[in-house]
Amino acid sequence: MSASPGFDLKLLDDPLFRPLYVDNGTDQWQLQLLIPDARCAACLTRLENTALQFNGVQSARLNLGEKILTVKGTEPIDLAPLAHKLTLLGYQVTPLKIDSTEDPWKKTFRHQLIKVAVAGFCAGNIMLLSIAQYVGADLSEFNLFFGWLSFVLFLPILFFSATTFFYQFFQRLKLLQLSIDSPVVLALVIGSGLSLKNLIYRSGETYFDSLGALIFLLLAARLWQSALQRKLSQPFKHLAFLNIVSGTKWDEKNKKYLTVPVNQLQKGDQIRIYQNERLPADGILLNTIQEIDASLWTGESLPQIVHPGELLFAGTTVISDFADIQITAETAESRLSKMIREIETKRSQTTPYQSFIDKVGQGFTFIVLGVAALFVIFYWSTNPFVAVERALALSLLACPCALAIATPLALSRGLQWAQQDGFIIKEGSTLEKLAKIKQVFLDKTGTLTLGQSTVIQTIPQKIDPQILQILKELECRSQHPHAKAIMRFVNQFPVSSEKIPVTHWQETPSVGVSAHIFECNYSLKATTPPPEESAPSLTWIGLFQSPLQTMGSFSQENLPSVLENKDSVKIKELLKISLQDTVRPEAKSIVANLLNQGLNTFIVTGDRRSVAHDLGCQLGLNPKNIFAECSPEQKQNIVGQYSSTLFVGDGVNDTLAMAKAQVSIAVSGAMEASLKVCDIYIADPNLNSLINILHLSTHTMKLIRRNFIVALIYNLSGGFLALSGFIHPVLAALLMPLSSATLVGLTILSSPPFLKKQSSSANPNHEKSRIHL
Amino acid sequence: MSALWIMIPITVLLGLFFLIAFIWASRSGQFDDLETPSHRILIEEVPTENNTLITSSFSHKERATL
Repeated sequence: MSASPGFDLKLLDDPLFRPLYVDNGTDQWQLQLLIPDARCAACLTRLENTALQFNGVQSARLNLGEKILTVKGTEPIDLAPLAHKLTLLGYQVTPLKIDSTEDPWKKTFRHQLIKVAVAGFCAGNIMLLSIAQYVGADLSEFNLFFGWLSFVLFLPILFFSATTFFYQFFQRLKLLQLSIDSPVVLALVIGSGLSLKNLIYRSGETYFDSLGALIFLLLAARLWQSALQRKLSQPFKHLAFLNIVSGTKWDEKNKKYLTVPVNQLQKGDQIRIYQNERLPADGILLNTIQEIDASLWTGESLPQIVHPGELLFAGTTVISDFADIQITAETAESRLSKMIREIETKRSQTTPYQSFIDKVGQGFTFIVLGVAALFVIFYWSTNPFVAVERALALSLLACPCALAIATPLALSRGLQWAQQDGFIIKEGSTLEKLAKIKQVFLDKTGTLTLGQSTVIQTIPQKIDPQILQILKELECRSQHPHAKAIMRFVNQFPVSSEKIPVTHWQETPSVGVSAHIFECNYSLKATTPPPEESAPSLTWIGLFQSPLQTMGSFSQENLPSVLENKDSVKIKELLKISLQDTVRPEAKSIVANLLNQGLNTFIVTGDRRSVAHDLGCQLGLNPKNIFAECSPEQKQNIVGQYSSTLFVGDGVNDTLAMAKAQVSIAVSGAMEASLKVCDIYIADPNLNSLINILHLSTHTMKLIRRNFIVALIYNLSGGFLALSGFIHPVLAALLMPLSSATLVGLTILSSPPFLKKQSSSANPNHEKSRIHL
Repeated sequence: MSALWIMIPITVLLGLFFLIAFIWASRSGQFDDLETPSHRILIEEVPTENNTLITSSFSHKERATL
């Protein structure tokens, strides 16, 4: 299923769109609505009751975890009013498309839950039977019965619950890798074989109780981690790579424009894209010169000019009035879709990550097998039977099972700490990969900078209120980023609400705006920077005044003239404004911190070379580490040249590189596609989280290593006891649960890392993150 | 002590009954949503016109998954 924010709810009852969203079962229809803001019992009653007030709605149930309201009914009714009513309650409502395939996670979760339950039931009962024996109850007549009952209860654990470990063990073995599952499998096989033999010959120990408890705790710890990961990545699930639902298509038969679902747009169709809309497919521009925002592809936030006949890619935003496009590649075949498919296939092909704990498992397996073999060789001459027996007991008791249980818990703790601090890590293994990062790649636009222009200074500094008003009138109709920046600047000052007459307002792509105000012609367009200024990243815009052709009687003495155009005395430049994509205030300290940590820091951007170098020097980076004017593919290649890479970005142009890097971080306000690809999402608009993330990862890894040392002590003593033949049944039964309990306790009670507090008001101008989490 | 010959099988069978109940509950998706029920229990069921509408409007199948 995919969500589509900004979906026009009226389309829900459109005959072309309704079948995409409303599932018509045999006797019931069903509609699912994504409501990201639903979070409490009050929301629950309000939303469900509102939906139920509609005639024809039979049931309405909200799932607060998934944030999905499921509405069902038998008689077909209009659903747009229902959805609209919910928005009136103050919620953002997005219908979800029907997806025939059921969520595979739910099925796996149920299955794993049953496995845990079965293991818990069997292990608990075996434990009860064993405890009676350990405490020394006189049960000689029951010994055999208890033994065989334990064996019967152990069978479901071995052949049902533990299948996960066997399966994963063989999967890794195919790749010639050993993981933490290998010592577990080793212990299971040897333990159950040895116990069965001892049971049959009525001599020696059985280990069904400790093995059962081990499997139960392992499965439970892993299930907890996966449930937590699922919960954290829930908001990303319904993100579409490109949130375009409908297109306006020219219908040749009826000679009018029709709104159709995106999947009905075909190659050769002519479509119309209105101002601020995004292209749903790749196509050729037909009508006139256009201003477009291709930041999705280039990372360059300023508009570009395209001429008729030029190819535009899906995802590009139209800034001018409207654009007529002839589709050359439909949505599924567009450059964007191809790129996303490439990322997804690459992801599915990568070999599973061999984590620290997997390496420990591998090491343990080899060492234990080696020691056991040596012991058998040396002890063979003394007593071959005892030699084998003790070697087997060693491989059972030296299993680092406590570590295997504690590690998922430690990673889950890390994920929780991260969430509390305002960033979301999708998977536990990311924390580990982060600790090994050597190179950090930073995108410029939107990552190091705010991704929006801001007025830096004006010449003259003090502006006449009347000029401010003229500026406002000129720019309020324009959608150009510079116009928006100037509007933000002007709105800081008190401007009289008095209306002034504006006529002949027009915007010329790539030139600027002009209008007739107070019987004068005013225009805003690019100007030359003042001689003392040379920063390449600054853009200069001037406000020009010229008398109308017919008459120029406007009292010019009232307006301060700054510079006079030498060519024509009649045109006056009243004001110079410099604009710049502002660097985040915390960027400098973050880069300094990264460099201090010995991380090789790079800037990779699609922006102009001069701008990138200017920024790099400001931040104190080596000029060699600055890559400018990069296409998405070039970014990917640059990242690919290094190992242990971290990529921090926000745009679609970063997604290829993000998928290539070991770890990728999407910053607040990032595009949907990069949120989908990233490993970590910073929800806080402040970039200081980047440092905190690195700190958190080292903290979590410290916790895992501490667990490792404690486990090692337990395992060494267990192994030593096994080899010396001193395995008292109570000791063996105690050692395993005791070590697990110690490590689980140490992990759960461990203190959160000390993270730097962030001032969230660092930049009030910054837009709130586009994705609500 | 010979009572154990009867008591122990009974305890195992009793436990088995609850295990099967759990498996059934899990299969029918009752543990899919672990968050909403904790909020749902806080909603006071005042017998208003509205509320009777809510409770009566569930089909049997949905009541089972409540």
